[in-house]
Amino acid sequence: MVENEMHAGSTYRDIFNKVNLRRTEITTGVYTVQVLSGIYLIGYATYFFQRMSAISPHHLDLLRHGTDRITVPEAGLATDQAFNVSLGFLAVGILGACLSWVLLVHFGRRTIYNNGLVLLAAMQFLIGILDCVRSRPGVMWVQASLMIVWNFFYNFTIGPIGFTILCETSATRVRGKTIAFATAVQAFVGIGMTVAVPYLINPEQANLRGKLGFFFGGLAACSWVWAYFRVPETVRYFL
Amino acid sequence: MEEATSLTARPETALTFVQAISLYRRATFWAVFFCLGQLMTAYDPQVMGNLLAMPAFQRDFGHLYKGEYTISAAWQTGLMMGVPIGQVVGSLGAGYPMEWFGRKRTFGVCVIGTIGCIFIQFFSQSLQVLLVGELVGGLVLGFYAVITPAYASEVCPVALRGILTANINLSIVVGQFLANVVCAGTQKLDSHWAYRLPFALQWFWPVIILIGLPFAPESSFPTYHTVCFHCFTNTGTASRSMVVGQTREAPRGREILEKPCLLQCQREASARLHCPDEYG
Repeated sequence: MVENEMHAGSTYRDIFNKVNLRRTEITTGVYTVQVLSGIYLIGYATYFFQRMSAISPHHLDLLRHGTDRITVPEAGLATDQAFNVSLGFLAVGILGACLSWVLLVHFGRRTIYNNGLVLLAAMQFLIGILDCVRSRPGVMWVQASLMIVWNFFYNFTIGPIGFTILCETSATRVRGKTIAFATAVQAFVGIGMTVAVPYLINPEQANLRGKLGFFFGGLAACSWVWAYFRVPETVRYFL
Repeated sequence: MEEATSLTARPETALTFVQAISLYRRATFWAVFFCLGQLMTAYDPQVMGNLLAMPAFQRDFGHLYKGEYTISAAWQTGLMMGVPIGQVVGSLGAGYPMEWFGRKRTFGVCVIGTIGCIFIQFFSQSLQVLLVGELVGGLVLGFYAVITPAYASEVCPVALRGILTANINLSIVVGQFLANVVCAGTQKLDSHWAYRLPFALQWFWPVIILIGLPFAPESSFPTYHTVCFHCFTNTGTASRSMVVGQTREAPRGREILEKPCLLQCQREASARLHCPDEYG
C-alpha cells in the first residue's frame, strides 16, 4: 500500500485528503486574498491620476450624460505623464517589497499578514468614504495618494508574506500540487476581477469610481476574519 | 573546533539573518535565480496592457473608428485574459512533471517553450495570432508561477526561507516595472518596433536562465528517489550536509541515513524497494 503510494507520487486528490485539506485551504486562501484585498482597484490608479484634474463638476456632468469622449484639459495628466506615474507606483512597490525583509526578520508571518490586511481594508474603506464627499476639489488627490500608500503596504505585507505562507504551509510531499492549485484558483479569481472591475468603474455602467473601495474594503475585511481564524504562525517551523 | 561543531550542529533556525546569508550564499543565489521565472510571468501581461494604449500598436492591430484607430473592448479583454487563462491550465499542469522530472528539468523545458512562444508574439500580424501567442505563452508562464515558489522554498534553509520566498513578490513587481520602462521607452517609436521590441526583450531572460541552469542544484523534494526527505528536513542531521553543500539539495546516498528518525523508519522499507542501490 505505502509502496504503491510512494511509487505513484502524489495526485491532485491528495491535496484534499484529511491530512492536507487544511494546508490546501490556508495556501489557497492566503494566495487568493492577494487578489481580493484590492490590488485591482490599484490597477486603476493611473486612470484616477489621468482624470484627476481633468474632472471638474462640468466634466463629471459630461461623463454622467454619456458623452463618448472627454478631452483632457491641459492641467490633467497626459499619456506620457500617466506612464511616469505608473512607473512611480511600481517603484513604491519595489521599495515596499525590499523593506518587507526587515519586517520578516522581526515579526511572525501571522502577525504581519493579519495586521497588514486590517490596514489595507481600512485604507480601502477610506478611499470609499472620501468618494462620498468628493465635492471638494482636493479629495481626488487624497484618494490617489492613499492608493500609493496602499500599494506600498500591499508590497510590504500581504504581497511578500502571502508567498511565504504559501510556500511554508504546503506539505513537502504535495507542495508542487498545492501551489499549483492555489495559483490556479488565484488566476481564476483574477479573471473574474479583470472582467468585473471595468464594468464597476466605467462611467456608463456602475460608475462606482472610488466607491469601489467599499467593495474591496469589504472583501479585505472578510479575508481578515478568515485569516484571523485560519492562518497559523509558520515562522521557524519545519512543515 | 568547538565553534565549528556548534555552527553545524545547532538547528539552522538559530542562525541570524546575516550569518545565514553568508553561510548559504549558493542557496540564496539559486532561489533568486529561479525568481526570474516569476519575473517573466509578470512581464508579459504588463507589456500587453501597455501595448493596448500604444499608438503604433493601435494603428497596426486596430480598426478605424471615428477617425481614430482603436482596438475593440472585446479584443482588449480577450488579450488581457490570454495569460491568466493560460495560467489556470498551465499551473495545474505543472504539478505532475515537476514531480516526475524535478523542478530543474521542468524549468529548463519551460524556458525553451517560452522562447518558442515569444516567436508567435513577435511575428504576429493579427490579433488572432497574438491571442494564440498570449494563450500558449500564458500556459507556459503558469508553470513558472508554480516552479518558482516550490523551488525557492525547497532550496533555501529555514533561516532564509521567509525572505527568499517573499522575494517572489519583489520579482513580480520588478517584472512589471521593467515592462513599463521598456514600453515607456518604445512608445514614441513610430514603426512596428514600438511593440515588437518589448516582445523581443522577453528573449533575454530565457537565455540567461539557460546559461545558468546547468549549474543549478536540484531542490530537495520527495520524488521516489528521495522519499526519505522528511527525515532529512525534520532532524538536526540536515545541517551537516547543508553546510557542506550550502544548499538544501536532494540528499544523496547514505548521508541521510546516519541518524535515522521516526519517519525515516516508517518509510525505509518502501524506500529500499525503490532505490536499492542507495538504501541497500
